[in-house]
Amino acid sequence: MSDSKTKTIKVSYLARVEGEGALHVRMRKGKVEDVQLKIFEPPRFFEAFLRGRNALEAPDITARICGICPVAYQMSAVHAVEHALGVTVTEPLRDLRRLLYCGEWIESHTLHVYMLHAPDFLGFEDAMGMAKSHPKEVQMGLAIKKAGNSIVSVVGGREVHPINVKVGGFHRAPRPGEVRTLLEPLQRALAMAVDTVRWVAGFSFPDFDREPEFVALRHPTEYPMCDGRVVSSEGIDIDAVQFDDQFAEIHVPYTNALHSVVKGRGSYLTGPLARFNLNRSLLATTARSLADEFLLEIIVKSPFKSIIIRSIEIVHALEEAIRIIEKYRESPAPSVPFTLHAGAGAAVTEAPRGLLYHRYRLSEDGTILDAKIIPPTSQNQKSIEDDLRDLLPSRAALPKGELTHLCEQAIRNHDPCISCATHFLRLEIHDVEPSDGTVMP
Amino acid sequence: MNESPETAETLVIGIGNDFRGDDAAGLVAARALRSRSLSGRTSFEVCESNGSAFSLMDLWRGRGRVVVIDALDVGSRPGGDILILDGLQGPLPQDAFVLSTHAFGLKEAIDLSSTLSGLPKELIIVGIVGKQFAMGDPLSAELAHVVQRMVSEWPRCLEAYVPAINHVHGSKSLKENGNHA
Repeated sequence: MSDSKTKTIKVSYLARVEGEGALHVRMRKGKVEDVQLKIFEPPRFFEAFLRGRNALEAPDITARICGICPVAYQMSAVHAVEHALGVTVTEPLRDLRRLLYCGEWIESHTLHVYMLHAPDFLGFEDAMGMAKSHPKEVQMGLAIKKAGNSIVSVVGGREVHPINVKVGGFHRAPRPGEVRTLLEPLQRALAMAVDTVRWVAGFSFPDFDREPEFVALRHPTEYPMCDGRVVSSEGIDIDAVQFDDQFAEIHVPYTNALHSVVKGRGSYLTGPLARFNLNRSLLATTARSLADEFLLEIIVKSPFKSIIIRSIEIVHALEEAIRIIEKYRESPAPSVPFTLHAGAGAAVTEAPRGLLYHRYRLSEDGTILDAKIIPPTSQNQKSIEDDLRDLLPSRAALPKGELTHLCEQAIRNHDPCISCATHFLRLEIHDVEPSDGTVMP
Repeated sequence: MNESPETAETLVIGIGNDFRGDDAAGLVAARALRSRSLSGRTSFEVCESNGSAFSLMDLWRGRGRVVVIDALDVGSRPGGDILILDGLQGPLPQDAFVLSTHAFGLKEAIDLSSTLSGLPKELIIVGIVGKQFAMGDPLSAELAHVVQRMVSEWPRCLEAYVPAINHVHGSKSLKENGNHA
């Protein structure tokens, strides 16, 4: 593209999946004039659904927001309601929740690494094309994901939209024998996950770095999942109840999802890259060793390398799951007792693709008066736009097809939901008539 | 197909989402068929799925006969049409099975299973044409009625129409042929 021309990259809307997205980029004279990532997320509807429902229903209702991350929604909901009611869930039930979350991380990350992201790096249109040339790797991905599914099935009650989580613990604690059946498949999956890290670390990565404000949970002794303080690379260090004091949601006309910003600063990034950069030393042994081998930089600034981090987090989740299973003992009761009463509570947990914030206000009988849910997708939306804004100027001369693909790949770096939507969109690139009258070929 | 589609070795998979209007059709059909099976009127295995490709591949790998029931979004066809497709005679209509979670659904499961030699011996797909798929909507009364009729005629409705042609416009429709008028 010459400097005198204007180029519009448009990835059309397609209402098909949770986390529907569209992309519009306008460039003029090699500079990015406008980037609009449009997301149509359902959680706003769910906040309305929740009002008037009993707080005990929140985990199962919100689990329906996402087909890939139902456990994340259950975990944030259940922790927020427990915070409102003053309920504390201790071991071994706390570990059981962490085990369930490990299952979802394994499922979700494996889907993203193998089905959504890897084809980008290997030059395939999609995973089906990749499977023809890399059947062994795809089989490996399927086996790892199946191990994650098994955890969700045993601990969560079923593979899809698990139903076993409740305020105070679980409806039923699995027997030690049931949990131990998971061990062998998980150990096999761990070996494959290590191979996965080595495989993706060998990909070629576009030369692009950007250092947004990274925001993640931090726990004193654990790589974060269910709890911890919200911290950032710019010094934020708050409890979940202070989330609304530090972060704001702003409305932008072109998208249904509110943009989240750090008050007084702007966009921030949550998810694997942020989690890893802020908690690297807390990874499990093998995962940390792989990170030291393949990610030499102290702060990973390339969003394209998130595929390596996701793969390392799969290893971590498998190691953590195995650790929990090996020491698992059944709780005397599957849940702790509590009484419903008026209150307000908030929680943040680490969904596979980033921070998931829930806040509830309850009446005396536990009816939800007000609910707020901020999914990682909307938190990352502005940062993804910033990535594109910084990435494209030096690549403006690329052919339209390559440029469009690069935009999609850059989006896929951050969020599986958007990745899915854009991966299957009908792509349209319109070269519009620029101010000098030249029409793009 | 040489044998009756209803045998003890048959696996019926109902695909859908209870919270997306007519997309619940496959799940509702699976539950009704399970009730029939439990009552002894039929004998086959039934399971429900959100339609994720990996789950489907796990479910049907190594199976003999699999019948998948899913909602279809085909603008050109009336709501309630039932189309029978042979899953092994691909390709399936590109955009018809659109509501599976995160776009890795039935079509992708078949493609990937084919590449990785993981398809069942027979794969019959029952597509029920839906019209409204908005989040939070219930299954429409029209589709609920169609599903009920389909289940009441099971498995005769399959025997009459398998195999069929894998183009939505050319597929045989129970409704068109009078079975579900």
